[in-house]
Amino acid sequence: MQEYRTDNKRLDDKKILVAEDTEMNQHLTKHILESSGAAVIIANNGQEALQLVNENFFDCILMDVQMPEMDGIQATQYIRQLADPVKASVPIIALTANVLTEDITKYKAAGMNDCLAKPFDESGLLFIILKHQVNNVGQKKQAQQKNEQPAYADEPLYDLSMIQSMSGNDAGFIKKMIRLFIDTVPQNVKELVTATHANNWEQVSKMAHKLKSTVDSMGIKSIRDDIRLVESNAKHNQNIQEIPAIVSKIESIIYHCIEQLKKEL
Amino acid sequence: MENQQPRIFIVEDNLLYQQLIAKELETISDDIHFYTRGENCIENLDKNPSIIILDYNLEGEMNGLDTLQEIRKFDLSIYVILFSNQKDLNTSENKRQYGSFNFVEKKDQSFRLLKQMVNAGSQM
Repeated sequence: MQEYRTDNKRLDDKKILVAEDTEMNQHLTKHILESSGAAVIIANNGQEALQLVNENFFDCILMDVQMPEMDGIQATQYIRQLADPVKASVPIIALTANVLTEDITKYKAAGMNDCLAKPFDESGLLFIILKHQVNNVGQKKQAQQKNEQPAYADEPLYDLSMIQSMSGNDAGFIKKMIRLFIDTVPQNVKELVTATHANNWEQVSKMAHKLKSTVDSMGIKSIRDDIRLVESNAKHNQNIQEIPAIVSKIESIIYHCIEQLKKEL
Repeated sequence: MENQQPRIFIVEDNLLYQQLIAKELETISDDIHFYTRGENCIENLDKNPSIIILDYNLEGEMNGLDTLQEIRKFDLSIYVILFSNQKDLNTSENKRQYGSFNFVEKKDQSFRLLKQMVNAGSQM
């Protein structure tokens, strides 16, 4: 097993999310990873993982398959749908005791890159993480060769033409609107996400309604229909099982949009 | 004459919309007061606004129609514009029940229409 040997500190500068509900496993995994130089963040379930991914960039996610609230399969499916291509393509490794072929097929179908059988040891864990880091770097390089920057970075998710024309291109006013957006919208998004996690559909519909006009006035077209769909489905209790994924997309687009808008100030 | 400008209340829970409305109305008045709750609008009616622009969905317990009802108890002559994307609010039944109002549907490009409506109101 010579090839499984890994030098100490080989995960330096890597930020790793561990989604795992068992406290003992959390400690164990964290200990191994930190001894190798990685920064480790723990999520107690799939929902927490999803939220952390929305707010941060990780080099790798270790995902327990069975977790309360939202399992690893669902969380992976949501992450793969995120608008930010870097976040959506983060390597995700399933941690599970179920490693029959049919299980592995299921994990791959959900978008997981690989699978590590529990219980695992230090060398097995480091090996599988590093395996996907190499691939990941390769992909990033390829993307850079094709295109100097990732495509999304250049394309603004917003369109200020409505505000520009209304204000007669009043730069001060436009900045004021951008500041208001940046200052007020994260709270609204948070409330929308919280209500979604709580299955409080009445509140979800209300928050979507509130966000709708803001999203429209900033010309964030990619979620224009999504936000209407969430409002209407939540209101009429239709297809509510689809709502969390759409809300997650809305959340990720809005946060990304805020990052872009900050550069306008 | 300082009092030429109509005093306008904007009762709207979306802070971006408050600013967009005020921007559109800046040639008519800069005596504009903002509220996100119907309750706060009612508490300030003694400032004697001549025009009130009301959204339907508000923070607080009162919606736009509840607020309208309280406005009408206070003063029948205030020019009220309900500015909402819910077209179905604009019924004679609602006007009978809550008091008279003008209606502008909130959608793309509707700020111009709102301005015309305010203009009409400020000349009454």
